[in-house]
Amino acid sequence: MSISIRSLNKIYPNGNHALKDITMEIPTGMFGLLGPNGAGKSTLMRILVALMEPTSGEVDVFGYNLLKERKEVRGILGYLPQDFRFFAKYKTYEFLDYAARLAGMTNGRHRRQAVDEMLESVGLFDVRERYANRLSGGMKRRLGIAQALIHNPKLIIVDEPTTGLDPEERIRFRNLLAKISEQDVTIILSTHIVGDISSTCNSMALMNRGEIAFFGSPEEMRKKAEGKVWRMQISGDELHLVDKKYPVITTIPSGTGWEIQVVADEIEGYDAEPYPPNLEHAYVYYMEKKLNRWLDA
Amino acid sequence: MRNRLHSIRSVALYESKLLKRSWFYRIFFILAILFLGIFNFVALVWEGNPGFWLMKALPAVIPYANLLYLNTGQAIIAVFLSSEFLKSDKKLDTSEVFYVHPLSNAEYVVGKIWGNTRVFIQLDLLIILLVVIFNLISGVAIDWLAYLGYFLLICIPTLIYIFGLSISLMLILKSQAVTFVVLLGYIALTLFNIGDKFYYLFDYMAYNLPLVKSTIVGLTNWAIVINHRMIYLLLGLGFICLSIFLFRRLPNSKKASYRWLALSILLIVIGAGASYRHVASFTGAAAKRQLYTETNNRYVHTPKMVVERYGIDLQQRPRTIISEVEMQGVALEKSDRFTFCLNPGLQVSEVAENGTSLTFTREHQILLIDFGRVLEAGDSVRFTVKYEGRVDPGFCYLDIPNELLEEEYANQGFQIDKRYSFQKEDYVLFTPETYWYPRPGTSYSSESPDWQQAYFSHFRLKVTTLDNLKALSQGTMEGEEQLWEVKRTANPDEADEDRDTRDTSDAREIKGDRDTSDTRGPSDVRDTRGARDALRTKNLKEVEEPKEGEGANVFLYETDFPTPSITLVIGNYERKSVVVDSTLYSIIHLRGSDYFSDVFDLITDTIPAQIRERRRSLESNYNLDYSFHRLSLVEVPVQFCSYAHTWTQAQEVMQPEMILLPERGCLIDEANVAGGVENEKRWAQRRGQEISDEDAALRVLNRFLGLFQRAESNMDWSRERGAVNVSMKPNPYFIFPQLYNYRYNVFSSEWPVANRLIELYLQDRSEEATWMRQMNGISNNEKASLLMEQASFKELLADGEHRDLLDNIISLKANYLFAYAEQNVGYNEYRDSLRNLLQRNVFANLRFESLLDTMGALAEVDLHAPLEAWNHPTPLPVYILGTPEVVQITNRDQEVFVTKLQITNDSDYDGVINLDISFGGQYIYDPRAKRKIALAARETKRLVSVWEEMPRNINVNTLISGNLPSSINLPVSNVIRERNKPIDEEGDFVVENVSYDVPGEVIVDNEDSTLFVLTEPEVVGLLPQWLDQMDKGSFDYSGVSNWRPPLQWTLTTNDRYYGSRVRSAYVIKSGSGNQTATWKVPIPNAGTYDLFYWVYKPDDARHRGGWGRGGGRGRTRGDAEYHFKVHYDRGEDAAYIDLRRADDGWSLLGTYFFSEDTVRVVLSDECKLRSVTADAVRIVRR
Repeated sequence: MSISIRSLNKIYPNGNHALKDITMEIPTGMFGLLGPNGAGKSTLMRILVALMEPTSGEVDVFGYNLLKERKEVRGILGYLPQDFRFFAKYKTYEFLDYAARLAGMTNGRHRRQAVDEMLESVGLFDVRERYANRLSGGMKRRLGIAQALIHNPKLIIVDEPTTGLDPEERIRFRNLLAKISEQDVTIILSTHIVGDISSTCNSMALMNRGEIAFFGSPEEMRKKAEGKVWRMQISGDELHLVDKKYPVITTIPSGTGWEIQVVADEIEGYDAEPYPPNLEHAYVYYMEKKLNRWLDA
Repeated sequence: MRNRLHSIRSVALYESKLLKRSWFYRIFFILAILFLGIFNFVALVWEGNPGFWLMKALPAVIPYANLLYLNTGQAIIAVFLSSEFLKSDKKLDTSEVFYVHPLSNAEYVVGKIWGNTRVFIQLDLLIILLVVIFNLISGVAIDWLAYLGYFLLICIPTLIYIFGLSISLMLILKSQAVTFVVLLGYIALTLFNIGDKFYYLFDYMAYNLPLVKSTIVGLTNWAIVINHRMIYLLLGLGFICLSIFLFRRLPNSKKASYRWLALSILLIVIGAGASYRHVASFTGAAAKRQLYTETNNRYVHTPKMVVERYGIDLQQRPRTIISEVEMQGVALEKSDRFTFCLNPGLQVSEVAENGTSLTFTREHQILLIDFGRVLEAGDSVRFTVKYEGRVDPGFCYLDIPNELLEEEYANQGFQIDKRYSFQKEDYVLFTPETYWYPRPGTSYSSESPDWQQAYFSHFRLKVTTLDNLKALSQGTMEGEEQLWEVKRTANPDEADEDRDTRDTSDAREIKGDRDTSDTRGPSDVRDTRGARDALRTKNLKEVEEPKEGEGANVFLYETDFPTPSITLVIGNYERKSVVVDSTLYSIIHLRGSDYFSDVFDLITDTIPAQIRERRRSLESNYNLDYSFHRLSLVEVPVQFCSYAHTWTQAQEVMQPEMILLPERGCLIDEANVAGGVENEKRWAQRRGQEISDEDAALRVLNRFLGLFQRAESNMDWSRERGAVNVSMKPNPYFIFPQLYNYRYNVFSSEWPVANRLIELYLQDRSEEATWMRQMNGISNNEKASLLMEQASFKELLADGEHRDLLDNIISLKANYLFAYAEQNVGYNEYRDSLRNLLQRNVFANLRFESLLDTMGALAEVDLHAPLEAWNHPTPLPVYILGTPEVVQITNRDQEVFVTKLQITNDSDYDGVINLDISFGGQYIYDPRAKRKIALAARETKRLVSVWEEMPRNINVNTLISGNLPSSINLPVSNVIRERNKPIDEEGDFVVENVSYDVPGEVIVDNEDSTLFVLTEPEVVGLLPQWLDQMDKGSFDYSGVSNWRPPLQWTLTTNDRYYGSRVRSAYVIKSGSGNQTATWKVPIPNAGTYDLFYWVYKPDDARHRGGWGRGGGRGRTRGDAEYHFKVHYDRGEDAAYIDLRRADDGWSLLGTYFFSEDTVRVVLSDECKLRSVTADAVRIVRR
């Protein structure tokens, strides 16, 4: 196991209980942390990268105690925060060089070489002299991952890396991560976009309101939703009513009405046929049905 | 470790990149380069600028000035920039990725600060390079060490401190805006409010720290300076450690974080300790002075000797002196033990008489010698004292209050350390103030003036110096010719030879002439020199250099006359000299300091004549002789500072036959001879003249020599809330002590200022200039009068607060003391008698009391009587002055001017005034024209005098009086011409029941609180009101500047205003007519009246359009009218007075028929002149 988290709690000074007694073991490879906004993902990430102290609990990272051996943990980390837009007045390559220096790359020649290679691999070599602030959103994100990877860390933590990217950039980014995960590293990817996880992660956790709602592989999670996804054909007027009754995942116009997919244990009063679930269906099923009901109970 | 440094370097590298890319820094960078570039160009290179002499004379001041200015800018900019990085860390979401790296908080914070500091250091180095270039171009020597020293002392601690402070404050306050407000407030507070207070402890920018470095002795206050800078360096480092602790990123380990806190506390505590040490060094010095004074107080009445002969044998050691002094003393009273005083830093090892050791006790400065037998008064004894050590300069000036000692000593804003003596391996300066040899009695006692001792002794001084350094002292030096060997560098041609012969004969003639009337010391010594002296006059380029080799470091001096004390100077000196009338005039400068010969060589031939002329004018001015055989200007370090003692004119820069000038004359603008030549030529050019280098050099020489003739130094301008104050300090280089103090001494057990009274009486200083009085609102003599009304002379002498007025107080008292006697004998005649009396007592102590006996008997006046009154406050008499009347009477071939003036003493106290009638043309002394007049209480005198010339002006100086102004000029106008009339009898006639009222005449003055009304000022905010209240001093009348008139009606005095006791008026800046002054004139009976207004012509009405470009309102010619409205029963009439045409005094506004009981005359502030003056209105019945 690369990371082991035990009874981790975080209560903010304003009383917000952001993490509630979280215990889990994160294996090597690409790990997805899925959850809606405010679920506590970023809090957990910030604790893992030693930017924040937990209120209680223990975390071991590759055998180092995160609370006591911060320096060692920091030594093996690469981190891309959720917000990564505003840069000081550095050029693209300077930003990367600065990160490389701080990561302990003291040899100037090696560092320059590494920077150039990294710029090349994230496709930023041509804009290396451009001020980082002037890069496009996608480029900035790529620069972000570049700085997180520049020193070959054992643990890479990326927080909501694809938010705000256009589909093409998002796919590029996922591919990049997938490529990296082929090496012997652990990547923790937090996201609220299911697609990020389904395409890349071999294990995952689902967080909601500070707790782990699901832990396992994406496939296991998908299986949980089998038989709960339905496809039906309805008229325009009915859509309004169905939407109120069931969580609607997709609506596609067809002829005079709509072809929709909903998540539900069973459908009453409508003509529906079961539909093979994907991860997104499973996520919605968890969020909208199971968790809420469970929480309500 | 390597990794740590790497992290710090990395953070620093990228932090400095950021700083250099910020616009804020770039603008500062450009401004700094521009400002300092222009500054250096103007100060050092531009030939049109005569100023900044200090920078040119003292090379170290160039980097000092530049780094001081740069540092101030940096200190302010650094506040903005350093707190910026914390803010940007917070603001920029990309910064956090750097936090997850393994570097420690310390590495990060230190890296950030180093990054910022580095950029500033680079800027500093760039500026230094720029300054070095200017320095090279200017031709001023480069003091490399100063560049480095000032950089380390000024810039580094300031930067570290301000970075540490602002970052830690930012972390504590968590708001950049609040941090700015707090820090800028702090900077403003330290810069403007605290300044040099608390011994410049709070001066983190080193603005008030005395840092001027001497070329001769370097910095003299190393310990204090380094300690002071360490305070800020340590505090800065402490704050940086605190910032590391407070930094909001999680530390790599908690323990490390607390270590930083501990280190921070430690550094701040050490810094506080250094602050304590700083303050303690000053308070400790004050306590020590107190101790010395108390010791003096205890011994002041113990038996004393007069030392008739001194034989001092002194050896210079690298850090100390070893000295053996043989003294021949005469007991002043019967005792076996006698008190002497020697600098407490010098340890006495043995006192012996005829080879037998005597017992002695030492308590600080006191040396109590037990002769083992009772000596009767008058008994003579010869004994030796051996001592060695270092002179403690903290022993000097025990009489000077601490506040004065702590006052800044600055030139052009550059602070100079104050030193009273120097004792270094390569330089020594001991003035008598240090008590470097044992002197009888004690030094200053705060309890009894009995400590004072201007005993005249004979001195023989033998000095053995180190490293062939030269020793200077008073008197004739044995083997002087060998020491200052003449080396010719120029071959004088035959024409020169001729001129020299002429000069010599001329010189001899004058010398012979003088010798007959003079009782000078042995002149045979001088005569043997004649021929050689003549040669010396020839060319100043003759460099006199010491002979190297055996015996060259032993110097033997013997005084030519008895002298109160001697001075010792040791240094690598060279001499340039010229003999005029067998007096040797020298400039003795340190090697490499000859910056003047190039200029003076141009006028070698005329220098003797110039010196002779100066000397003649000085001697005749004070009717005293310069008695020494030589006069040397000796170059001493810039830090050498002296104070004016209350009892003497002579400051320590003035020593018998020696004047100690700061190195290269750097504090004296007149000493900038090369710049002076350029100036003279430029000024001449502006006047459309072309003058030669020789002419210019001559003018420069004259200007320089003028320095020694002025009683007061240059004006000191200060500004307080817009009001300008001008003051003048006594000129320490005023040569008077050479004529008086080292020859005569008037002494009194009761009146320590006896000698000063006589000095000031003989000097008879003139009143300060009218314009100065007008700006300050009051003259120093008036202040002195007002003080005397409140406290006795004795109290005032002991009062440190009004020290700057003591000369005025003493001078007024002296004038009063001799007033009656002078009235009987005559102004000059009486002073001459006094000089004769002094001359009879030359080189001896003359008791004040016996002086009063003699001088009183001479004039048949009891001079002791006024002394009793000196123990009480002086009630101030008040005088009313009439208008002078001059009648020109022509009787056949005879034409005379009869002058009449009526003066009343309108008080219950007797008083004396000084009358000075001046005529056009040359000043010729006439005892009738310049004299004292006594006026008893309530007495009126009509002064009638008859002159062959027309009196132009009558000055009445009311001396000690309640009159404001106290000195009044009455210009003579309206001369009445009459023919064939009997000429009035001359004399001062007492007139009975005199009235100044004229029937049918009513005058309303601005002093009349019921009949004179002013409009309220238009807008007055609360703050200005409060400030005005705070500002209101003890004095009701303010100063008014003609070129910056007040914005509100301001009450001020001037002798050209109307008034009886107080000649006052209200002045306001000209406006639009909103502000008015109103006189309500009561009408005795209905009838036709002439209405007059008292006109005071301001300068811009006096000089018709002569103010050129800056003329302002005064430019509008012909429209300089005052606008009046006369409100009476017939309605409202407008009336005007054209100030350009009107004369000072009453001016007719118009003729009116008044029937009601009150008429209102309103003056508006609408005027084209700069100001409007509201004074007095008069009606006269037709």
